[in-house]
Amino acid sequence: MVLLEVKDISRSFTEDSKRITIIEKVGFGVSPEEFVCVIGPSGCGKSTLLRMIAGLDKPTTGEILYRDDPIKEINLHTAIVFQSFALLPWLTVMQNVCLGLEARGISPKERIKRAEIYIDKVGLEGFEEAYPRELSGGMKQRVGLARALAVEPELLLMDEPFSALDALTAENLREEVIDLWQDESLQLSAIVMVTHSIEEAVYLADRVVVMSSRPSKVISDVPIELPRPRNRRETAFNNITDEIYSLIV
Amino acid sequence: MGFIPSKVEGRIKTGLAIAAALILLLFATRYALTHIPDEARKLPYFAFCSFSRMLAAYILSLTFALTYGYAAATRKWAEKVLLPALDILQSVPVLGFFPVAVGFFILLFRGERVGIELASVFLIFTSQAWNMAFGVYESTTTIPKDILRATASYGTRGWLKFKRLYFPASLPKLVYNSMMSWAGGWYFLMACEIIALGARRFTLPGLGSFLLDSSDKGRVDLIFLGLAVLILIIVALDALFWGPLTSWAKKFTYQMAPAGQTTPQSVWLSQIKDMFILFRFNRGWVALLRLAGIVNQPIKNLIRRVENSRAWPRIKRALRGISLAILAAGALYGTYWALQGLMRLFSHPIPSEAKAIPLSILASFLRLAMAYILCLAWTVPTAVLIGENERVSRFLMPLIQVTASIPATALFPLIVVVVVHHLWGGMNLASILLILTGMQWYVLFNLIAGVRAIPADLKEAVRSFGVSRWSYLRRVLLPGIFPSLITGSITGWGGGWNALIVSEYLRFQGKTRTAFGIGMLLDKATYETGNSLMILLCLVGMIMVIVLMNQLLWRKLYAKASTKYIIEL
Repeated sequence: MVLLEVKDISRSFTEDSKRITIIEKVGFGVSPEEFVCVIGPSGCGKSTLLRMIAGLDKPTTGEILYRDDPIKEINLHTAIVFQSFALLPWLTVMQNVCLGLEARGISPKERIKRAEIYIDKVGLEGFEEAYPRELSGGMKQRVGLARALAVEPELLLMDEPFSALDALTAENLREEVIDLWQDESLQLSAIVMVTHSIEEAVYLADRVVVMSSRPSKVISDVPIELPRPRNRRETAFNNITDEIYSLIV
Repeated sequence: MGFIPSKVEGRIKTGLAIAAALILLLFATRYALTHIPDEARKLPYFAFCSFSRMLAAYILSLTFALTYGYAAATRKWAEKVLLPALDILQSVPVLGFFPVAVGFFILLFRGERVGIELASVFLIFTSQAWNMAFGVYESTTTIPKDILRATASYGTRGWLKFKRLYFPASLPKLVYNSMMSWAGGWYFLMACEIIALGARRFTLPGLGSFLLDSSDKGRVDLIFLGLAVLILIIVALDALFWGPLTSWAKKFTYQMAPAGQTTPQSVWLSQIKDMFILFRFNRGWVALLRLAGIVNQPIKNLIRRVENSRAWPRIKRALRGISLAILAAGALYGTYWALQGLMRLFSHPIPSEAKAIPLSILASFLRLAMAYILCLAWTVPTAVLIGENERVSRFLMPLIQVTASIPATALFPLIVVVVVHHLWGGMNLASILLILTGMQWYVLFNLIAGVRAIPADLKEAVRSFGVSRWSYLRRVLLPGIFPSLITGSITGWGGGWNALIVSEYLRFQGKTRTAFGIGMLLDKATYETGNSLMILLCLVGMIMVIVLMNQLLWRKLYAKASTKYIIEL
């Protein structure tokens, strides 16, 4: 069974009366319980791809199936985590996390109860009433994560979620994302994450989809079968990293 | 008083100051009760009337700005129509709306008080609404893309999206522009309370008409009294309302303030605020909001029940249909009314004065240019001084803010008396000075913000090379403030054109003084002959020049400023 099926999609737009194609005939699938990383040079349309999976954008040709149904409007089985966090600065941590629940018409009481659970899950208990500007980068991204998890998505979409964080914070958060993904108590099934760091992709993913530069196609689909927790110093790890490097450069 | 903690010392000082102010007020009241001229006894009532009109117009402007700005920002087709329309509306001076006010509101109510009041509120609205709508449009279109995507990806739509995203995102600019609009409203209050079209003259009780009347009679003492009341209201509004609101609105900006940089405030003022106003103010508002919450919940529940019912889609469609029908009917009637009016206008022969329009525009333009040069000559050095020097800023800013809040139109008769009787240049110089008052504050405040926005790192990096003061000015400061200079100039010229209309024509001591220009022609057509066709021709000529200048000069400079001279962080 496939959860998500990207079928031969292309995306182009017109700028200054020139037709620019950013994605050309891209196809891959994501199974339940799978962690997929999409990797490629900057400007290759990785983020556009993610937006199309969320239903925020539409492919010019081809289609994306979610549980065998084509995505026509906002895909409410998914939630996105952004590189820039995309928190509303005028809402508290609690209100930010509640945003998606409010949109789904969940009662205020239920909203707060659910938000509490996910705020605790990402380790932000005690910060419910803080505003984003009072938090560090790592904490902001935890809010972003809690906000995404609160709507209980099956598929979590992450757009370079660790790029704006310092190395140490990013490392901690990566571990926590793996933990959350493996957490049996959550509805969360699969993750699609866009990144430009090969090492990060190999460290996290079950499969790495490698894309070319614009107009991007899928160059390769590399399964990573290393046991977890993974160790970056192992030869097997380095061999896969090197292999992907050679594909891109 | 070294052994007293400074906080306590501050409190004592503040307390003493307030006691002194109270005593002063007591004496002033006693003096006033015995010495105030009879004509001024109604001033509190006039103040109340004017304030109510301003408030009504402001509520109208707020509603307009939110719907118009939101529509222009979120719908592609609307943007193409609404923005240019706003551009034109903004450059129509308040007198240009007189024929509409008289022909529509006053006629509709057959000259009854209600109609005149409505006309006046409408006129004040025209000096408040446009920049607020621009503010909403700008803030809605500049919401960071990721935030838009995030809210959309959670399926946030409709009212929730407005409440959580668009409205809060608009707040900082809305509050700022509201202050501007109130200032604009006071500035043109005098023009909005005496509505005239030729022989037809409608006067409403209020501060504006009081000031104008006093000027007509040449009573300088009454002008000063009226002005004092006006300034009192403005300062009180600022302390009670706009001050707290501005600091609250800072919560709704995206970026964090750079560490260690706080807006300078007078220590005394903030302490007085601390002790009295803010405390009560916030409590009052919180209580009010709670009350609103109690009423709000049942309404919300009702809405939810309706929304969940099976008939909702049909109700929704019906509601949309009805509102569209009302809108369409309104638009149709408006067009019919305007067309009919135009037909009637053009059935008259073109007035002979119309030949003077091109030359008059040139004369007015020269006055504006003179005012602009004067404006730059004092605002640029002042802005550099204030922006660079914290101590000067702390001393000068409160002073400047109070001065800027005085509507100069009320001072105009005095300017004319002083200039015409004691200086050279006559009405020409007086007119230029009044234009300057309509122009300078926009430029100054934009420039100060520009100087402050130059990153400290950049300043220090350049200084560390040991460059001279002059090349620091030339290489860093002046290019750095160029974008703010352009923004300030655009709004400043807008304000200048508006001020122009009231600056070339003045009645003082029963005599009319004029300076030849488009403002004079327009004033004469409005107040003396009441020739609507002439008014229309003047407006068209003037708006054409303004729009052309915006397109050919300011847009280009703005584009240049925002590509070459912008400092990106």
